[in-house]
Amino acid sequence: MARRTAIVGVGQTYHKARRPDVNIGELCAEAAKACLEDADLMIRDVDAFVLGNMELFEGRYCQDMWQADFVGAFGKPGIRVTTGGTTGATLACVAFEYVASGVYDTVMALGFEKQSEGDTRAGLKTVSDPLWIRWLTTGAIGYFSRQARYYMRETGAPEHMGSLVRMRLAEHAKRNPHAHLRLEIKNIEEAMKAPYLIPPLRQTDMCPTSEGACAIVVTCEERVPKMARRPVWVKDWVTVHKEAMYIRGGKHSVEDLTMAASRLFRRNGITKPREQISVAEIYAPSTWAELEWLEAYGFCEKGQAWRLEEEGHFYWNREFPVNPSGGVVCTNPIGATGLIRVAECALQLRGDAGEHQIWREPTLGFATAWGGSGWTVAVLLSAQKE
Amino acid sequence: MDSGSASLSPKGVKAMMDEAELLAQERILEVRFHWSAGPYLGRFLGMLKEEGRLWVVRCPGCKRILLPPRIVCGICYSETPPFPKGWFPLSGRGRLLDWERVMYPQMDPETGTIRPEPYIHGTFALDEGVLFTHYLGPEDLDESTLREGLRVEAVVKPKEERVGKPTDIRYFKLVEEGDD
Repeated sequence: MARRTAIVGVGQTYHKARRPDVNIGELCAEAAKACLEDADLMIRDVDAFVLGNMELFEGRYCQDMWQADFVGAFGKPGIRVTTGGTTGATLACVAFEYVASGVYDTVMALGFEKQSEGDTRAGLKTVSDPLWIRWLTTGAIGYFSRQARYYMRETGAPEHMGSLVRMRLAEHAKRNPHAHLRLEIKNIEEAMKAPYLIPPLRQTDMCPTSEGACAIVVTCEERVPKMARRPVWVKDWVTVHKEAMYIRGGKHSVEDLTMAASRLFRRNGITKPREQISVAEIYAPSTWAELEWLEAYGFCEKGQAWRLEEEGHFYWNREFPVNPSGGVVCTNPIGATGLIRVAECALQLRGDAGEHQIWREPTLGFATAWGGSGWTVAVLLSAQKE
Repeated sequence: MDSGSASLSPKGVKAMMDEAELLAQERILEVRFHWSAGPYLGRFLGMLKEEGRLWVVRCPGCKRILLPPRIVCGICYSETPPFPKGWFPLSGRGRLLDWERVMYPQMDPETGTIRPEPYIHGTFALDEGVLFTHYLGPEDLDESTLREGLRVEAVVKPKEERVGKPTDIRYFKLVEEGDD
């Protein structure tokens, strides 16, 4: 029988395009320190570590060994996790599994990215098979332009929808001191002036390359009463793969997202996700993905997300807040990005999100990550133990 | 959430940036790779070089066409027979399903150099019932003429130029209905 597990501390850096003032270890140290301060714990209280970032981006072998000295992991057990875009959320899942299984009582998960040190686009191109289709890859931008076209065609969404999503996320990011891009977008006309990358995808529709780190501390039920923070309970989590070899060649598909959410919701008695879940921190690398994926996860019917967006339904102070942190489109230190979704969800459920705290009394939070060649992670958090 | 540790003042950062040679150093690394294609993808690439055709195999379990052929089907996990049993060549003809016009500088992962843009990627529904993706040819760059369902045909490099890569197909071009 798995043990009940709770998040009792979160910490993150102030994410930026570049952090030339620190090295990788120092960047991670900032997040570890912020997390320990938030949890009011000493490093000796942490039994094990799960560390991660993207492969190939910074060009270092055994990156966790380099991190370990800076986050207080010396002499302690732990592993590195590197599952592409989902790395951060997988870090959280492994920490949950460590604690739920009884292997360790208190675990820190920490992810980072420092993209200016290497070549992100070169790293991302290695996602497809070198002998089969790598020569054709356009990385994330190519994938998400196809996705946007597909969504427009299938649902009749007008082209300005991407910019409308961006306006919401920009408003959210302005309220979140940790967000990277804090654009002032006055109106839709101004938003639509952004140049195309691949039509209909504009520069403002796509996530940035950010630098930053994020950490959470997870502990078991027995230790929760000793903790300073209100615990956020880990209700459930799933990970799903899909067929990867055809990443550039197959039909557009979101089946991995649908499989992940439906499994998670079925197991937890969630039949009306938009009513039962108070907040969603969705890992969507583009504005258009956010719309389609809200439908893929089952939060609305197919073709309904863009209409709800038009009505302002997904703002932090409206019916169903989506990415009140500003989301991935505003902040994307990749190896930390999935963990930021979980951490931000936890802050919302604790009521500690500050200016971007959602208006409604939070009960359940939904955090996801997506990446690599089709891997989805979905996490369900709860403000209450039951 | 208080993380005072993350707050180095902008002035402090600037002072440190002035000593950039101490804070950051640059290296360019060249790494050599040698990838095994294996008997399935290897045979596929070999036949492409030899004949200029795409050879595929049907999954014995779920009956879909595996392009490129693989030792097992990724979805139903049935084993597929090695060449030539059950393998057959595709016609190289199909219909345009979708496309994307690349309008920003993209690195060619084969060479590390920047590709001239714009260019168009197409997804093609081949007549045998399998999807394939490749360039659309330089004569078909006018997006206003493109629509789903147009007939396309592979333009294959002459044998002396073929090396056993998917780029042995130069691109796909639009052809008139019934012209192929």
